[in-house]
Amino acid sequence: MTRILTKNDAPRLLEEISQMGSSGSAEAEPQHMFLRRFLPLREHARALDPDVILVIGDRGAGKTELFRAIQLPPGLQSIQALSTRTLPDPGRSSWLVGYSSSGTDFPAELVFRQFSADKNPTDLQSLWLGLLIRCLSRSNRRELLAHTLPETVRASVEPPQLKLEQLYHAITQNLEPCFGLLDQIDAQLAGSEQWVFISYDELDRVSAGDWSQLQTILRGLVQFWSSYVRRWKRLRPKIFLRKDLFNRVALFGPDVSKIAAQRVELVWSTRNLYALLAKRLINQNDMLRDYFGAVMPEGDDRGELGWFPTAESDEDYRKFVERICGKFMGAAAHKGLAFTWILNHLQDGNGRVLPRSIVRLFEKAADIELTNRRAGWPTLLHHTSMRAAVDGVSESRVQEIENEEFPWIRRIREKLQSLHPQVPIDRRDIEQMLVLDWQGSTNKPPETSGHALLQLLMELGIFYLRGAGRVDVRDLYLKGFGLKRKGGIARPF
Amino acid sequence: MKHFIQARQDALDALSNAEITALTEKVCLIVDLQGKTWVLAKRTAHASTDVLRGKVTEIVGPAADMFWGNKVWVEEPNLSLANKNLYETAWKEAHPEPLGQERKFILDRRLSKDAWLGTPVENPWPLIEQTPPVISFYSFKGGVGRTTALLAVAINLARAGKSAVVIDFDLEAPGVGSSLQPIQGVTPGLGVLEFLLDFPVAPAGSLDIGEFYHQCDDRKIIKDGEPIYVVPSGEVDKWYLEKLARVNYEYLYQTAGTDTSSSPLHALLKLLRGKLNPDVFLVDSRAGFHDLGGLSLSGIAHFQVLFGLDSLQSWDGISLAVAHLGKDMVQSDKVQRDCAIVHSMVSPNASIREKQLQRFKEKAFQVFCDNYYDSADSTAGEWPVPDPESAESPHFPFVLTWNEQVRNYLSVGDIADVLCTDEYRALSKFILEKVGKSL
Repeated sequence: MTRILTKNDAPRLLEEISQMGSSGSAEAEPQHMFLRRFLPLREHARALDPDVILVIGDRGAGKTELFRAIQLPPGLQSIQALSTRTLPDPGRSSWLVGYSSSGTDFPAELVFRQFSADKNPTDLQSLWLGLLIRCLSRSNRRELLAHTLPETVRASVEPPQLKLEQLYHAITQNLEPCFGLLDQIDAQLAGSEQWVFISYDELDRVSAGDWSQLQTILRGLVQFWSSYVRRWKRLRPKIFLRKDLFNRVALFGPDVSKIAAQRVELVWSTRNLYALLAKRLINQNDMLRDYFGAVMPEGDDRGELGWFPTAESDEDYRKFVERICGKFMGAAAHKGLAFTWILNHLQDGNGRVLPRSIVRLFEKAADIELTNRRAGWPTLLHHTSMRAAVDGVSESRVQEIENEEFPWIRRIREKLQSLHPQVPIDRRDIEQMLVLDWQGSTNKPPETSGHALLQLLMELGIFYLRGAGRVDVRDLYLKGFGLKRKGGIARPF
Repeated sequence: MKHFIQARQDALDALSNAEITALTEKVCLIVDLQGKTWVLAKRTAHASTDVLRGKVTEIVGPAADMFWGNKVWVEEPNLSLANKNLYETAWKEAHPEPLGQERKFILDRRLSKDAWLGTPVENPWPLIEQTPPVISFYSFKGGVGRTTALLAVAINLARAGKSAVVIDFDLEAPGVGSSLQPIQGVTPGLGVLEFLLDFPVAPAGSLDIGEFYHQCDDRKIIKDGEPIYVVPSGEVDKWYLEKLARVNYEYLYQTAGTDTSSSPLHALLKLLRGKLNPDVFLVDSRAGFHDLGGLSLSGIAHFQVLFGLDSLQSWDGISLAVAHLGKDMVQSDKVQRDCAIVHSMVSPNASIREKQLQRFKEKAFQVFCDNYYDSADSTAGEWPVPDPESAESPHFPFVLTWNEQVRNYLSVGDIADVLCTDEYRALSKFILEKVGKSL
């Protein structure tokens, strides 16, 4: 039975909102919490299509969540239910990890870098072949491999401690039997109408600090699968790539074009972002479910997945958002509608919003309200708290980029903060500011000239180009990079 | 030879001369109707009136060049009551220049345009959920689609079962009143002009507001919706110019600013509201720098919709309107007047359109940064410089594409359906949302 809440419940509700969990990683979450927070999308369903090879998305777009979800039966089923095509029967599919930086199954970054230092992409193909065989040998396909693997290959793939050089040499000396083995496995899978999907995630961590080596390693992977994706019908790869990496891989010529057509991009629509938020909030605590009451969007309870939103259009989520934030972003209508303001102010320079950003915005706004309650019940988040929370999201986002994605951004941020530039800024001026001495740095950007670095930062959505050769940033990155906006009129007093 | 503005500025700068400063407590430059400049000065206790007069004439005279009026009034300690009152009035009406100090002032006497240059006037009523907003539609040039957009909002409201009052402030070129005729072929009767003349002389409470508006219930326009109430500019007959020549804009401005109980414009709105209780008032403002346009932008309206084109000429005018709504308020430490901007008559041709849109958006942001927004770190301001892509901000334009059908119509009934779809409907929603209303 729905409990009627009062303003005295506001602090408890705010606490729950502030703990929705944007800061943890999908891998670390307990399974039951993960499933209640996970929202499957049609794009996820497309990603399960055997013909889709590349899954493109920025960090925070949900690649890792998808990766985890497909390994859990309820998660996988929820995704498959959204597909418009007949997908492989989950009971007849296995998901194996071709590469992930989590755990110790795969070599550490430094080991990878050392290995690939004197290798070219073709050499790396052999390594990826070896890693494929290794992941198959550690799966329930092991019996297939037992009597057919050459001894040296078996000796290199079976031990828990993987030695890359050993694996590489074993494979290159036994290419024909290795391919023969995979052909055999594929034929067996086809005969028994089964599938094996091999996923590759967090590939940027293969060699985070050295871009040229990362490109070599990635190119080897892409070349391998673009060569053999048509050879095997039932052994299917899923390569999860960040958008900027995909853009760079795309520069490598014809290899990627063979598989680029078979890709899906994880881009979050307004409906999906608010549906995710709703799922998180309502599954966070029953009290929040009671709070939303009659303005809850349409949805149903789905066991381990918790409450699941089924409302299809953006507008179906408007009242839900207005319940918690109020209708306007100010005392009156001219300050804008909260429903549109939120996503507008979380966009990056490419107009994209990450799901992590919207969850974080609400968490931070709740924190601010807990310290200084301004919203009048039943509204929980005052517009000033929402605005201030954008600054918090900006700082978190930049920190996340530095710590998890691009460590070299730290030096750029520090340089910009020391110069206090105001935006918009002339392109040539900011290119000048981005010139740093990267000699001897362990974490270098892929480009070091000011011009190319700016181009990269624009691709990443951190900066964007305006008219007349000027560069600007969205609110999402303004505070985090210590920038200020130029212009405006000073008041007299 | 100096022109007026240069002479005025140089004379004002000259008042900061150290020799004048040493002899005075405060000084004021008075600029009369013809632009001639005089000086009013309050001397220090120990200064000599003659010496001060001489210094002012010597220093400010040449600065003002041919605009020097050769008069220096010196306020002395022991004045007669009459003179004291006169000086006090002058000091009270003068403005500190620059703001934030109390030594140097300026007092401009004008023939007109006080509505653009003077202090803001009050809203007829506060805008809250239960009160109807007064929305003004303004453009610097004519023919940019301002009136058509107003008609779109009115018709969309009517068809949604909401009531709108449309007021034609464009007395010099009447338009919207005859677009929404009471009966096809019948020209509108009394309107704004007649009211402005009658109100100041009519005994209190004697005017029947019902005489000054008509109702448009043409089914081709409103379908099954609410009638649209229309206050035309006036009865456009052989006496129209005679009536127009008698409108005292100075009086309109003064009453609107100081004594709204005797303000004809405030009275018009209040009487209409009392009689019709509409959901929204839509005011078709005169293009350019007309006084009525200035009045509606100065506070008669709660919200202003500015229509502009991607042209230098349009921006010159819109910039001044934006400054009036923004900078003038900020520099008086007041809150900016609410507004939105419409990029009108955008080309439907894809290759031209893209460039137009980008250019206009960039220019709009620049104009608003220079003339409307508070500086980014302002804590007191209502509108600090925003993210340029923040869609709720006043500079972020609504785009209205050139529409062949809408540009060439004989009667509103011919295009009413078009005005209720696509961009025009979206524009109506956009404008109404800004004032907390919906269709």
